[in-house]
Amino acid sequence: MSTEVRKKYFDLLELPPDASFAEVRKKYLYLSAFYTGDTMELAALNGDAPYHRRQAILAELQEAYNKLKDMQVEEEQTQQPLKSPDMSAHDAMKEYLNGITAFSGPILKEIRERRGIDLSSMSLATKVQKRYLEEIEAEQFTWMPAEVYLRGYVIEYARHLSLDHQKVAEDYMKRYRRFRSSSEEKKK
Amino acid sequence: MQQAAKPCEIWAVAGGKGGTGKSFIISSIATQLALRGHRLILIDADYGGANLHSFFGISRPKYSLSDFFEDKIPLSQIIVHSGISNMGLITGALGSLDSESITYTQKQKLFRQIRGLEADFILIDLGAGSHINTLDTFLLADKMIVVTVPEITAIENLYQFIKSVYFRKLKFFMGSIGLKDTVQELWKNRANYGIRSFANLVDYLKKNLPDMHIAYEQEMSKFAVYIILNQVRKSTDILVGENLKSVCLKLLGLTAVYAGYADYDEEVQRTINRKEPFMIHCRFSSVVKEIEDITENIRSEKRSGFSAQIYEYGSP
Repeated sequence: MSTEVRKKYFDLLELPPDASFAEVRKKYLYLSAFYTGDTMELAALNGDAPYHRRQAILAELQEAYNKLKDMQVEEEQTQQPLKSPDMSAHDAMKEYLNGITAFSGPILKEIRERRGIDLSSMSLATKVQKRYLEEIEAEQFTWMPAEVYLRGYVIEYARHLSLDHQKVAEDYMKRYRRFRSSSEEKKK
Repeated sequence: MQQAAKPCEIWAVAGGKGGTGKSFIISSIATQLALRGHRLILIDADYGGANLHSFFGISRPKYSLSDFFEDKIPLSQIIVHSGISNMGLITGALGSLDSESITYTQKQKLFRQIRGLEADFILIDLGAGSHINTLDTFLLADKMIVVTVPEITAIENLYQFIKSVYFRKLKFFMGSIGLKDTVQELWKNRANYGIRSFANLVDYLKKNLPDMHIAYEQEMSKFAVYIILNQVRKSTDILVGENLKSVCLKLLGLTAVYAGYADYDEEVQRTINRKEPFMIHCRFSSVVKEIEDITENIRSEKRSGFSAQIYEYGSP
C-alpha cells in the first residue's frame, strides 16, 4: 500500500500516521458509533447532516479500518524475521563464533547468554515452547516429540541468534543421533 | 516606521453564542502569553458590548476604540496598560450606542493599524453573533479561535458562525480570482445547482472549478479554526470538542483543531466579579493548567492540538 493511500486512511480516522493499530481500532469504533447515533453535535447541524451523508461517512470509515487491518496483518508477517537481533557487528562475538567448530547444546546456551537473550523472550519470538528450548540447551530430551520437530526448533533457535542455521542444525542433529543411539544401546 | 523584529501573530476569538466565555478565555490566554514574556496587545473588538477591561480591574479606561473611530487618534496611542507587564490593552468603544455605523473605510483603517502594531502577539476579542464586522475582523487573524460550551444551542451557533466565516472567506477568495458574485449566486439559486447544504456548496466549488483548483486548495486549505471547549462539567464533555472537530472535517468540509478545554469552576465567576485577572489570582484552579495547555496548542504550528485519547475514546 502506498504511503499516500495509507495517509488517506489515517486521515479518514483522524489519526496521525504513526498511530498504532490499537488506536486505529479504538478510533474506528468510536467514530462509527458517533456517526450512527443521534448525538448533540449532529443534531445541532440541522440540515447539514443528512442520512445519506452519514451513511457515506460510515462506509468510508469501514473501508479505512479494513484496509489498515489488512496492512497490519501483512506487516506482522514480513517483520517476523527482522525481529531477531542482528549482532553481527560485534567483532568479539564474531571471533568467538569463528572459534566454534561444532555447535552443541551448551555452546548454543553460551551464545544466547552472551547476547543477553532470555529463554522466555526467545520462546515468544520463535513460538517454540520454552521447555523445548531448555531441552535443546541441556541436550536432555524428555518432552521433545519427533526428530523432525527437534530439527525445526534448532533452526528457529539458531535463526533467533543470527547464526548460520544450516550449520547449527547439521552439527546439532549429528550429536543428537549419536546421543540417541548410545542411550538406546544402554537400554538394551 | 520601524519594523518589528519578529513577525507579529494575530489571534482572534469569537464563537457565535454569547456567554460561552470568549472574553474570559482570551484574557486568560493573553495573561498566560504575557507571563511567558511575550509582548502583546489585547484588543476588545466586541463592537456592541465591550467589557474586556473589567477582566483586568479597569472600570473607566482612559482611552477606547471610540477615540479611534470618533476622534481619529491612531490605534498605537490609545493602548492602555493592563496592569500585567508585557500586555497592552485597547478597550472597546464604551459610549458608542451605534455599533452599526462603522464605515467600510473606518474598518479598513482599523485593520491596517492593527497590522501595524508592534508586538509579538495581537489578541482580538470579538462579540457574539455573525455580524459582518465581526466576521471580517475574525478573518484578519492568523489563528482563528472559537469558544463554545457543551450545549446544543451554543453548538448550533458555532456551526452557524464557522459557516458564515468560511462563506465570507470564499467570497473574498472568489473576488480575488475575478468571480466576485459566483458564490452568492450559487447559494441564492442553490436549488438549481443541486446544492442542498453548506458541504454541498464546498464540494460543488471544488469539483466545478478545475482551473481554480490549485489556487482554491492553496488559499482555502489554510482555513482552520481552533476550537476551545469551555465550562466542561464531566469527563464525557471533553469528547464534545473531538466530535466537533470530526463534524467540521467530515460534514462541513473544513479543518478544525481541538485546542483544548477548560473546566467549569465557580472560582472563575467569583474572580471575574471581583474584577481580578483569573490567571494571577487563582493559581490553584485546574483551569490555569488547562489554559496553559490551550495556549501552547494554539501557539504550536503542528495543528495537532489536544487529543482526547487519554479517555480511551469512551463512547460518544
